Amino acid sequence: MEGKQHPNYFLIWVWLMVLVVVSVVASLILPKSLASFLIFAVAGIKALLVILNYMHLKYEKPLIYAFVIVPLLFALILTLLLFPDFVFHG
Amino acid sequence: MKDALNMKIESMTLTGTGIPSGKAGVWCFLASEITVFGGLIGSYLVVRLGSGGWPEASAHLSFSLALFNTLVLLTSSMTMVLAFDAVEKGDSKKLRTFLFLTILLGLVFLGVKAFEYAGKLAHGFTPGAGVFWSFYYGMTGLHALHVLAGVIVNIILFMEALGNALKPNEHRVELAGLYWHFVDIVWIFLFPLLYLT
Repeated sequence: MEGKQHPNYFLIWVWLMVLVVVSVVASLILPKSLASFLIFAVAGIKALLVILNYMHLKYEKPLIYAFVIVPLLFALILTLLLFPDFVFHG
Repeated sequence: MKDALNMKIESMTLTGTGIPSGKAGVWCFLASEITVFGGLIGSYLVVRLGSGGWPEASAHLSFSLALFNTLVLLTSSMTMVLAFDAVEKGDSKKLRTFLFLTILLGLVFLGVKAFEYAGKLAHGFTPGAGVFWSFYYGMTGLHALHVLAGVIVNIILFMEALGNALKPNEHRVELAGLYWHFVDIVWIFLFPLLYLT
């Protein structure tokens, strides 16, 4: 971490709690497909909040971003390459 | 003395990138972990989306226990980052307190998980009971092992902090924290994948 600046850790925790409530409420009241979309969008936001603030990624050099983004892309490609065989089979 | 000092500085700096070698090492390790859990979650998605009707087996999972564990793990991430904050402020009492709370919350998570497993196994939902259960035990089991590893690392740091042996190596709290938050992020995705949708 460069410099002494850091986020408000408690505020981030409050946001994480609020987002858990949002996804739980969405799963209870929304139609299934809309709820799924919202729940995974919220999970993505939660993951970003943790990685950027608690793991201090937002203060890190681009090389550290590469350590996160490159393997994520590989995992995504690996998954998508399996779709023609397992998901899009008529 | 001068040589020892130079060695110390070398071990904490990666020439060229300016990133401390310990931190670069942990992020490298986390990169490999992303592909491990990414591959597992990816195969779960492929099997789930590819099956005509996903079995409603997830209805047998205990939503309230998982929700409780979600809150526990998210809170433990905050206590872990507050331990790192204490290192930055040079407050060893706060460091010990927050490391202890993180260990405690990690153990609570594992205890709840063990209780959940025992309940499922007692009802005959073993890892061989169907594809959903294989994924359930595979993904949550691997995750729980990661939580256990994090708890062990935190216990070692806590013991060192108690004896004031941690002082020269306090950057390790940040490194252990990076791993701990990663394990938290994995759960952020496992919770909706298995329990919410």
